[in-house]
Amino acid sequence: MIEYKLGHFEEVVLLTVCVLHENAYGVSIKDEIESRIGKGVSVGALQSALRRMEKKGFLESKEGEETNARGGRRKRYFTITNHGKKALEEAKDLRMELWESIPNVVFNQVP
Amino acid sequence: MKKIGEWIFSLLCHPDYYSDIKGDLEELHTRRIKNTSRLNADFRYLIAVLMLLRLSLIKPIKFHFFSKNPMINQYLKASVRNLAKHKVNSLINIFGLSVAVTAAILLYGYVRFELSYDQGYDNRERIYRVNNHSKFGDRVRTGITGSGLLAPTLETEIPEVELAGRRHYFRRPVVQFKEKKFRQSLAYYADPNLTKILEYKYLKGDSESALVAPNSVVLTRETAQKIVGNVKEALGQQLLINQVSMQVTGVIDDIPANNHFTPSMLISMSTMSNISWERMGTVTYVLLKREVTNSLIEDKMGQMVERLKLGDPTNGFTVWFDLFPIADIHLSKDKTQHGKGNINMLYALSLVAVFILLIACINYMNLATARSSQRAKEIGVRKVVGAMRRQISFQFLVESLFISSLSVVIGTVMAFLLQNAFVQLTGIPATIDFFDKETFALLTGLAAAVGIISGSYPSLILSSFKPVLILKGTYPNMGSQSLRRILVAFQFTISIVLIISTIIVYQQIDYLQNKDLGFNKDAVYSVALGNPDTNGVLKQKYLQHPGIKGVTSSNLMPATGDSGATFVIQNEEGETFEDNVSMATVDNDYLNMMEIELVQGKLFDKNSTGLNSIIVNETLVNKYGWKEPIGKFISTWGDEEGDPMQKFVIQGVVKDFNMLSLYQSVQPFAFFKKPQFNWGTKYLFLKLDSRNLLETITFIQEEFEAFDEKSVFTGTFLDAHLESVYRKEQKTARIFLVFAGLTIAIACLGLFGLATYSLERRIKEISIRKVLGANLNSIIKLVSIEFLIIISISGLIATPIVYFLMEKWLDSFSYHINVTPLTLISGVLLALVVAMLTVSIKALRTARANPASTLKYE
Repeated sequence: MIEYKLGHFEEVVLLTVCVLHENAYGVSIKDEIESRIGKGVSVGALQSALRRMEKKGFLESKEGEETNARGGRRKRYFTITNHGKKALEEAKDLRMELWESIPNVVFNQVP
Repeated sequence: MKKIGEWIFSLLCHPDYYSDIKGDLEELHTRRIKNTSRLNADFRYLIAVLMLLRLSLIKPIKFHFFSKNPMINQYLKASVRNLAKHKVNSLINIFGLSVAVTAAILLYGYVRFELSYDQGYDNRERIYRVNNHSKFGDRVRTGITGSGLLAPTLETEIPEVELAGRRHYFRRPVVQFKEKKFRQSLAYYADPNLTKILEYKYLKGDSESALVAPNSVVLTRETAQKIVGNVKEALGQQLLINQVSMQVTGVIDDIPANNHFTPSMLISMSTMSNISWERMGTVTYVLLKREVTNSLIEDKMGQMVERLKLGDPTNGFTVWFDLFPIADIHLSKDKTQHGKGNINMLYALSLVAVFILLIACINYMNLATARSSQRAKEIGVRKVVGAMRRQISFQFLVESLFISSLSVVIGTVMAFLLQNAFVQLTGIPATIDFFDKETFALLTGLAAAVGIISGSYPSLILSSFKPVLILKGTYPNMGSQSLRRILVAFQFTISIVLIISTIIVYQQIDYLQNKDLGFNKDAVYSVALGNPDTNGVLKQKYLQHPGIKGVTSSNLMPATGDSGATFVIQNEEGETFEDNVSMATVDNDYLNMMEIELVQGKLFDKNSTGLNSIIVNETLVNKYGWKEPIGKFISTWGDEEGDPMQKFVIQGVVKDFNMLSLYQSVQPFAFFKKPQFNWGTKYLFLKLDSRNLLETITFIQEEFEAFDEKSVFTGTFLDAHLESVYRKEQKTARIFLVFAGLTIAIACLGLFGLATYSLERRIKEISIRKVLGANLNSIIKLVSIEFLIIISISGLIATPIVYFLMEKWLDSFSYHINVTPLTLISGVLLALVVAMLTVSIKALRTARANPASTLKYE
């Protein structure tokens, strides 16, 4: 059985991979997340999340084209798998469900 | 910085991820260089690498250290799995071995430090200290001190002597620099040659010129920092030393603590006046030329004595010299060399280290063989698949080597952390250089030795299993039960020896400190005087204070050594002897205040002018068999030949008391009344009221400073001072206590492991007994009885050994306790109680278990 549980950071990374579509590799994901959250993300945290999710089957990756920049290292592009999509949807559903179950008064109440 | 980062990363990153993450890092780095500075970028790179070290990203930890023999990797994997499976067992083994290794390393550091004394000179083999011998009549004097003329004479008379240097003690001078005053200990007169021979390193000035001119001083770095404030400005400063102005002409590096001679300041020898063949007290060192034997020099010194007529053989006065190698001074057993080390103590401690290690090894052996049935299936399968016996035994050796290496690593780390505590315990600055090649070799050797010793027997037993029998389900041969018992007995024998030794050492120290010394040391405060106070001005001032009940003076501080002279004494039969009598000059009220008991005759009278009257102790009276001691006399030779002898008539006899050291028995002693033999009153002794002590002592100090502005006040309580004399023994006792504690702890750890195992095996038996109505006590008795017998046997073996050893140690004291059976028995009982507690805790838990849960599968 595949687990669909996602941590908060994992969810953010997974969503960003979707946002970047076809152009999601280490640095671009990092930049995207940082620009949106407004907070630094370490390469270590990001990479470990990426590899972990790859192992869980939410992501798959392939090597990019040869390049002379980056010390001659190829980029590794990440794309979301069907399982990943399912996990995201599940996470979203769970949240929507929770949102919808909030009694009206909570947000409309005048403090 | 980036290089470091790259290196760490390439070393630790998972190979699958390496390439593209590296690319990401590079990209970020180039961008950061553009946006910020190179330094910032490099720094961020390093941080990023460190943040990358996560379990999911680093290389998987694999056992692929040995590529030549891949089976070893397999064995290691099996060991690790086995360790993880039997956690208690592994913990006992690793913890016990680690603690033993820690103890051994610390003791090694101590022993090595003691052995390193005076080994650091480049010319170590060529440096000697001169012993001075003289014989007059029957009296032989041997000492390291002699005349100050010896060194220059040796240099001119004997060409094979390259350098001869000397030093002369300068008794605690008062050193004044600007407004600050210090009482400086370890000050010496010395000549330039001494600093050359002992290879002192000059930070300022040089050995050619620094100690040449009169009134020049050389300070050590530490002293310069204390007195002047820093090394840089020290050169050229004027110091007032005992009111004489002297100039600092050099600063030497601090002298390592492992030198027998550790001066704090040196004053040029040329400052010292009246150096002659008669004045003693100078220590001479020589540096011999290469390839010169010391016996040649000794012969030549003999010829020199004849040539210069240093002795007077016709009158029975002979003089001779010999050489003592500097490197042997510290551990010399010869008391005249004043070596502070004790070679027997080093042997004892080395032995303790070896025994602690052995005890831990035995734990491993016992547990490994006792638990061998747990590995039986593994061995059976290995054999069936084709393993040779040799390979199986090799596997278990690898396993024990793995555990011993692990323990050595843990032990080294613990030793490193505990080092400072140990230095405080021993009082010796014996820090271990863990990065030293020799230490490293030793540690590697230790790991190998421990692994092989503890692993050889189990590997022999385990590899002998017959696969057919094992796989059929029969219990294999688990090594001899009796051998295991013998080993446990051995462990406890050692533990008991150490426990009893510790008890005896403590009893002896307690005895020394509380022994009736024959005088009352309580509430007596001593003040060292710079100015002799001949008219008793300070004494009168002190007597006016209500908190001071009495004041008296003497030149002798108890337990700081002996001052004596040779007297001509006639015994009861009229034969004449020459004998050394220890002596002190005292005030008339001294004996009263110190509560030294008078047996016959009378005490000194305040107003008497009978300067030739003395009071002696009973030992002197008994030695010469005097029946009527009062009126007998002892006499000195006159200074010049034909001078009449000076007679001292005995006016009183006091009970024996001990003011010197309890290592010695009471010596003949005589009190002289001040100012006869007035070597200056050196100490005032004040009897204090126990109320308002602080206020009284402040008063004492203030009055002292008002009376003598030049000196520095130094006062101590007599009992505290006497206690400090036995500090060495206290240190010994503490070391013994710690290591005795460790051995018994490690031995009990092994016992715990064995008990656990035997209980596990017998749990069904115990459950059935319980079901049938046995109570807790009988069950505990059942499992404890075996160990009880073993430890009792250990006690029987240990007591004679410890008795023999400790009697020998106690013999080094003139006053010592006797080893009583009670001490021996209490030591054995202590070991028994600790061991039984260890076993019972485990037994109790097993016995309490619900029989239903252990028997439910039957």
